Amino acid sequence: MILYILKKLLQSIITLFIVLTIVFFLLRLMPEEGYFGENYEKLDEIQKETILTGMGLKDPIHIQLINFYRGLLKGDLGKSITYRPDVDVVSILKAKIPYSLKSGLAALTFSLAAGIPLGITMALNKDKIWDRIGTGYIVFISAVPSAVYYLFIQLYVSDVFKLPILFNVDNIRSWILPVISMSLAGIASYAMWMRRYMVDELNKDYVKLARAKGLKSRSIMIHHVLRNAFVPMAQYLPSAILFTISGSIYIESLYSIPGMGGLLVDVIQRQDNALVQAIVLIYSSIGILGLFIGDILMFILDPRIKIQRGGTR
Amino acid sequence: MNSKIEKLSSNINKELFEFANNKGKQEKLYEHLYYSYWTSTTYAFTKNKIALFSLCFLISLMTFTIIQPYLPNQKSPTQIFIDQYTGMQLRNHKPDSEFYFGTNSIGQDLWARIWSGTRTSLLIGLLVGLWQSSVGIIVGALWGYVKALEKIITVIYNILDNIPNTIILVLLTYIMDPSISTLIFAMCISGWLPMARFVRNQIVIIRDREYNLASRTLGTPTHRIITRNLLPYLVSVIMLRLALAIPGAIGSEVFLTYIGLGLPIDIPSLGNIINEGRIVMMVESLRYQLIFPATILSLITISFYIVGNAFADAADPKNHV
Amino acid sequence: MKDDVILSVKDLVIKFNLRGRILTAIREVSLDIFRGESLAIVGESGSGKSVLVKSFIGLLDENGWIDSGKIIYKGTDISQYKSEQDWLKIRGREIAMVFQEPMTSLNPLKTIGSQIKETVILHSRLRSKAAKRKSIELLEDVGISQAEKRFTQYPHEFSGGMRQRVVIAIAIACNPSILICDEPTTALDVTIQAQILDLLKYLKVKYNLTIIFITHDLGVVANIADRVAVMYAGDIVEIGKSEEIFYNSQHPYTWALLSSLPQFAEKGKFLYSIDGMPTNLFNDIEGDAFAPRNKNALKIDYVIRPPYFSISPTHKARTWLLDKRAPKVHPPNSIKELHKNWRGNH
Repeated sequence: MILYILKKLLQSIITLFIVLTIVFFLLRLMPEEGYFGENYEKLDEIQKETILTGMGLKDPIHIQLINFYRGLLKGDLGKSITYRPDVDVVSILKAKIPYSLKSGLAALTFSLAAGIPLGITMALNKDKIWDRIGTGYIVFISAVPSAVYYLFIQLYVSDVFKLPILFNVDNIRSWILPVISMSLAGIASYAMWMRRYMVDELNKDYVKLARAKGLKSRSIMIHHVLRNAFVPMAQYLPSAILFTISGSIYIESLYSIPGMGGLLVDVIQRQDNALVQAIVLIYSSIGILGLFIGDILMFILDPRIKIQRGGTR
Repeated sequence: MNSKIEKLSSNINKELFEFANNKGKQEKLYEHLYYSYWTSTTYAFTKNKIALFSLCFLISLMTFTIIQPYLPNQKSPTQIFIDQYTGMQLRNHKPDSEFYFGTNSIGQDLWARIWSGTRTSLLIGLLVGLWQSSVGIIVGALWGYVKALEKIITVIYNILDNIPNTIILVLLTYIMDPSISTLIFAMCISGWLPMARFVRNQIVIIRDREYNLASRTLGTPTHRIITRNLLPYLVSVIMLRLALAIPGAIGSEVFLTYIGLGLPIDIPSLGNIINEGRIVMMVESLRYQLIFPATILSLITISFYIVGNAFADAADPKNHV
Repeated sequence: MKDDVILSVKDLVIKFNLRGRILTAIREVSLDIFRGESLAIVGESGSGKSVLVKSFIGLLDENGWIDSGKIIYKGTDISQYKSEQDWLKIRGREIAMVFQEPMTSLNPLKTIGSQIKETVILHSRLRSKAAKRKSIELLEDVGISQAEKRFTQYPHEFSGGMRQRVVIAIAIACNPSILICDEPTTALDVTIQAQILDLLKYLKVKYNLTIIFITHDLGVVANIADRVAVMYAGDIVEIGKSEEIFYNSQHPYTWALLSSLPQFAEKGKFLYSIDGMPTNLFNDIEGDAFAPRNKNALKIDYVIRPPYFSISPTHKARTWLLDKRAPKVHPPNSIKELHKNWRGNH
């Protein structure tokens, strides 16, 4: 068991390493002009060279890479280049992360809390009214791009419920719209999968036997079907986490939440490599962590995996 | 029952107790139940009224977007209209008989822009969808079926999967100049991953089923097994993915436009039109600039979604009549 | 043979709606089951054996229904039961069932212990600790060694034969009067088959069960059955005591079945098999369903359905060949051999 966890951990770290390196190289492809913003025209060649060298951008690529990792291991993510010049990346992020994390986690919790019961209800009431309502909801949320329904929400829901659309950390009510918006897709996803898995389980042989031995349908649902349906759900948790965190890029802008997502777009445009790398590191780590947790969860929940060595992911 | 027999008995001709002289084989065989995959698929699909309706809607919509420029009285999507009385740009003009959807903040006809944008977005979506499906299927099939390639493709997949899609989109559109091809390229880079994964999972499941083992034993070459045994099984899924790719692409496009990496304004697309609408949405009287494109977008995406799902369900032989 | 009828089926008709077309799976079957007997129901795939017994506990598929007829169990006509509440009085409690596939009959994600315990708690007054003890006893009873340890194990840690024993234990835990086994040994290999059959015989005595055994394997029938009912196309064509069916069969279909046994193969000749295909049950059948495949069919077989003709108080068959007016027909050689060994009256 421990061996399995360690193996997965190692795989995760290696993947993370590769991802970071690729992003690192991609960023180096950015045109040089971007580093200077409006000043590009005003500075002459020598000044530009100096600045670029100072940023470390003129070093051979492998040196840059090594320096980056060296710094990483020390916990030093470098200094911001163009966003807040010379300010520690870590301190910039420290201020921003809590907002993203909090709203992301709140959205995730809400999706789970609303989505899974919805899915169960839909399965239990298959083809009846709740199923149809749920399906309609899922269709809408899945089909219409989030960018669009986020706008609808901001437009109409805020009016109806008199909810603020400008985020303010102290005002709980200002959290409502962004968190709910972010959770909608998750709810649709969880409801859909939960329903599907439950319906699948219902057709299995062991359910037939359970009925034959005299168990009530309700009992079968709760003690057998539900429990079994949860297992494949575990694999969706990681992508859910990732989705919620990265979906927030748009929401953060819409509602002016001072979190990491909004920052990302900004710093990419400003070509602040240090910050971009740091943010990518964080996003990727969360994603990989999510996958890792998903694997472990599956492992715990499904006793059959323990037998298989190197179970397919 | 017995008395009935007795009554019959007396009427029964002795002849009936002679041998019928059949050969022990059934003369009238089963009525051959005619089954054609596509006929049954179509039948199952048409039974779903909502899907049928959506399909009709989609077809009419697409036809309209194509013929719209050729209809009489249509304006150019990029032309800026000048008010003849004031000589100023006809900004933010409410919808009326001249401008069906009104004008935007620069004075362009929203009606023409929206249809032009729809054309562009649909085109992008279609191309992206096709690419995602083709590459996804090929990679997924090889990944699932050819054991030699499995490890390396898994590694590549894991890496690409872990780079948040948004980041790839953003980085790429920033490095390269925004244009239709850039957009398509960016969406294609990682968009094929879900399809590949799905195809691969399905293939792994059915690869070792008996009918495939039988084929292998008989010496059928790999590519034939893939195309004849495995892929038809996946048709429904593939169609679904294709149908969903279009809303997905449009969604990505809207997002990119929002962060400033979408198409330039002179190429209207649903993405940038919605974005323009977003900018003015707080002003009640100007809301129409958001509502029209957003509604059309929603209708298109929902229809694609419904049709795609309904088709996938209909194509599943388990649901066949 | 006890005269005590525990379950009585009268003129039962069961139909299914398949994609809009109606299929009659059971065509006026009447059957009496005596307390304490072992009845085997044999027939080829599609003859309706499973459908018949599933109707006894209300487990017909959603697209099937009882069209007419009665199923009288302990005085009540259970064919009229519609709601789950009604059926819960019967399922497990009175009639328990063992299915064909031991591999998938158990919930793979729960320990087998919890699955038996659940049944024990459901059908007795025992609670947690006592129920666990009873469950372990049951496991030992069905022949699972180290029962206490195995109580906490999962289904995939058991072999097919052991899993079937667990399923049987679950059935016994319900304390039923009737135990229905739907091809319980078909999915197991031959050596295990024998063990399971012995187990069933042992349990039958110990728990006073009436067993209904469905199979298409005549070897199994010979091993375990008191009486045998032969089904074809949704009808019972011949029924009688085990020895009567084997040594004094009278229906052409039974002849065909018995002839198909490899034991009767003659060296150098082809194995016998029944020509043709089972009847299409979507259509109404006129006369005898087996007629088209019966070399000895009479013209009347195509016109009027044969009634039961009694061969002995315990043995009857539905064939016009037994009518006085019918020509004398000689059964195939292999059957003649069997008849020679018939000890009863001719």
